[in-house]
Amino acid sequence: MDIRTGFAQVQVSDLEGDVSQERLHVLAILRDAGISLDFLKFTPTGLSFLISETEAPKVTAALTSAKGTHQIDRGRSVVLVHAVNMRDEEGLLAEVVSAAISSGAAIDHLGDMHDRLLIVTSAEGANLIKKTVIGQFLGGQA
Amino acid sequence: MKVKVMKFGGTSVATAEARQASAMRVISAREQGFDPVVVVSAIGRKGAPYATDTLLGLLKEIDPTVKPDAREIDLMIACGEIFSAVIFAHTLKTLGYPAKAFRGGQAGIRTDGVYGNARIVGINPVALRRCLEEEVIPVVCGFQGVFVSGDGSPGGELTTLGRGGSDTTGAALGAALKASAVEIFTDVEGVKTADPDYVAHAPTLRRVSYEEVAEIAHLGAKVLHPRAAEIAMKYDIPLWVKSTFSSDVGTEIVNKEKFPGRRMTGVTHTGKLVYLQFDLALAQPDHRIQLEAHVYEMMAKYGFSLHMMNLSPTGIGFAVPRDQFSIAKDLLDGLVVPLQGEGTSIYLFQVGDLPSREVETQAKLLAPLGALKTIVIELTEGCTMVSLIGHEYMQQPGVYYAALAALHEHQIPVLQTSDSELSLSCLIPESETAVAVKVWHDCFELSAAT
Repeated sequence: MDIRTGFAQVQVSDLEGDVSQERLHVLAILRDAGISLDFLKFTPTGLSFLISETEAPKVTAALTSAKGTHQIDRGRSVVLVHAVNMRDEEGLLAEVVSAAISSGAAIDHLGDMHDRLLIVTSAEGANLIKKTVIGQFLGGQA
Repeated sequence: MKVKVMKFGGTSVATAEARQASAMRVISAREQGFDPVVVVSAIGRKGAPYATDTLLGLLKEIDPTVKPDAREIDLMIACGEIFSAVIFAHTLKTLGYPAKAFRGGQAGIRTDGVYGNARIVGINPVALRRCLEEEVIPVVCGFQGVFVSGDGSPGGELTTLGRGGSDTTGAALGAALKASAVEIFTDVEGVKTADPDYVAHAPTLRRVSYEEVAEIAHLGAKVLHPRAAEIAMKYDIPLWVKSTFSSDVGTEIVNKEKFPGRRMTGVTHTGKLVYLQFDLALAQPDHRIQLEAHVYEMMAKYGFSLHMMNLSPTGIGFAVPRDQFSIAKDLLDGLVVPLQGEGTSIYLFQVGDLPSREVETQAKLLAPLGALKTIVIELTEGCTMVSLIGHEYMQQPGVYYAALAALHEHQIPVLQTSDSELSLSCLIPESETAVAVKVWHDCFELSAAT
């Protein structure tokens, strides 16, 4: 398991009218500002994504021209749970997610690749998840 | 010794003509100075007389209500590869090249004891080496090994390796024999930028990294099993995907250090999915975590393969393959979860906007017991996931905008998104799959990919 730190979570909400079109407008603003983003998710009235914490002032400035409201939560971490070919083990992905939720950490986002599960949370939450997952799946050893 | 492992998939051994073409590939390698080690899959794909599914069907048709034991299933389905290996070895012999068939265990492949999805724990290829020294071509059954329990039982137990097992056999033998290359022969020319059924002239990639090909496989394109790519990556074995029936050089799969640089690799699509969105807004804050964990625990227990997992302040969501959906519906519709904490609540899960008879009955029975809260699971049926795969590309500003704008321009609704370092995926209506794949293929100029 690894923990990567130094991220910020951006929530853009209260987009009105054609929300799909408005989401694109927000993404165009971010593109024009040269901002790289990860973990893009749609919410009912907007979208959320992860940025490098150092980009937060740039994002704040860029989003002043966007519609709706936005909020930036700093101090986010990404927990990486490495499990080669986790899709081969039926239910493994759900089992790890269940353990991460049970740790009590507030999880912002989930993502997966062929060899890892990615969990976005606070710095404190990352340590909680790491401890729980190591205890449950790795016999206490990362 | 210059070993080359050559793995032939089901279509490459399906007919006498195909086996002849495959055998000529082996003979050509031998004539070029290599020591070929052949790995074969079962003959033909679904529906063929000796294909894995057909053999499994022989057990099921005895009485569909009685599930065969995993051990017996492994013994049965391993026969497909045994037939195939013996026939292939004899084909080589008839062409003047001595060959010998080996079961997985005879080839020295040891596994753990998980029937149906065993993992290789070690390979001692002494019999294969001896065979090569005698200038005899070994033909090994893919997809199988043997579990030796250590309790004194003679012979050990035959096990199968699960999905993509023959690719894994090829890569693992390549590692054990320190092969100069592992070649996976199939009926396509290599790793394509998209499914040729959707993009007729999708080019064959000449080079990709192990990570890219594993991600491509993870997101739906079944050209090579990710486990095989992982093994080849770990032992730094050059891996090739080639067509048995074409002279195309195929795709070389290498370490990312040997193939650096930013690039878009391809577009994939998964099968049919159903998206489930759980509305947890009614749940007490102290109950919410327990409900979320309970749902995921249940999905784990019943072996669901989840896609597009999503958590939001008002609920959770994920997609399940359509063939697993009826099981999910049976489990979740009418599910009752009583929770205590700041206050006692009884949560009743309802699949879909309207309550089923089961949910209505549960609600009547539970109402007198306390505060009943209904968790509605909104369904989006008939969807699929299309994915873009790239190397050092997804982090570029504007990629999301370009991908989503292209779909928007073609009026393809995007229900949810998901991404990783190597990929960007969108959940879309299944009816739009072909258009979406083509739109992205054009938008990211994948026709020019090499």
